[in-house]
Amino acid sequence: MSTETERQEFEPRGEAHLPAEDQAHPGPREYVMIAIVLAIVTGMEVALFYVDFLSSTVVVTALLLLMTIKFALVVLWFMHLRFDPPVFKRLFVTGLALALSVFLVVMLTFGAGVVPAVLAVAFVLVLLGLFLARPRFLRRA
Amino acid sequence: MTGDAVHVPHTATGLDNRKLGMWAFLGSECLFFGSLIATYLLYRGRSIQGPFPEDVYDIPYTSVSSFVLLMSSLTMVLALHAIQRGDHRRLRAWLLATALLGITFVGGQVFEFTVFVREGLTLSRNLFGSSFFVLTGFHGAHVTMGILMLLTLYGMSLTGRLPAERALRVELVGLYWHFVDIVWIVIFTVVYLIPT
Repeated sequence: MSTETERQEFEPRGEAHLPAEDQAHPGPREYVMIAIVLAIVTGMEVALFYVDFLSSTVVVTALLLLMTIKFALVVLWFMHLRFDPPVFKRLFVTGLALALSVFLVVMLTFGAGVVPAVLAVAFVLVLLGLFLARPRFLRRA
Repeated sequence: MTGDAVHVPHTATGLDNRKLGMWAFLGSECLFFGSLIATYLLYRGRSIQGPFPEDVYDIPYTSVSSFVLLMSSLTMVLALHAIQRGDHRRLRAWLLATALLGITFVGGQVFEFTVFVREGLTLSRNLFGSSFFVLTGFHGAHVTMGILMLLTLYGMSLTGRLPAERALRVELVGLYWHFVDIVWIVIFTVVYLIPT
């Protein structure tokens, strides 16, 4: 890691030091919007449980995708990982990646099937993408 | 804005060690719950005697519980926002709301466990019972700890021992609370909704 990168990583992060896009944390209105989205996604999950015209593979994939969306919304907005210094994000992602590694090893070792493992890998990739890449569509206007 | 949001800690990293420690703790908790969830999935569908998940699960009931816990994350983050603005009256209101929602969730879980036991599902009945009660029981214990921390913060605020300068305390409890919420997001989908 370069010196410049280290300085950016550990530089004191009072609001005056934050980039313009990070200076404002969300306000109550944005929090309520996130909560509404969470409630809607939860409703979609429950609806999927009762759907009987889709194959189980489609249902499971959709459920895991919705779960990932909820997980990411809470972590990025309510836990402020979008706005805080990256070192917090990396600490958490490290723990998460280790947990998912253990999960995959257990599943594959004891023969729980390939489908759960593939879905778990997809889950990992989506999560890591959200945490590390900070896609443009997630940034505040 | 007042409080720790503008305070720069005098540490080697420039970050508050308490917050760094909390994130490291939450990272380790991922491993803890990841192992329990993996165990549940491993034993899934391998019980040779009932009751089986489809015999006991009440999805509408659990969905309401999940909604309650999700909304408690909203009230928690609003509590943090309140103390960072120095609004102690709203801080106490949101802390109390979060604690009450948490108590509702835990109460619902206790009721659910009682129903399951009445239907013959116990910790030692079958693989499903063992893995289910251990996983959700540990989660419930975490929520209970969170409720105690919230009520402690509420008491500190009432007695004037939680000034805006100590907003980090609310933030740390908030991080813990949101974590138990995201664990439940995973449990609700993986344990309750995904068909065997």
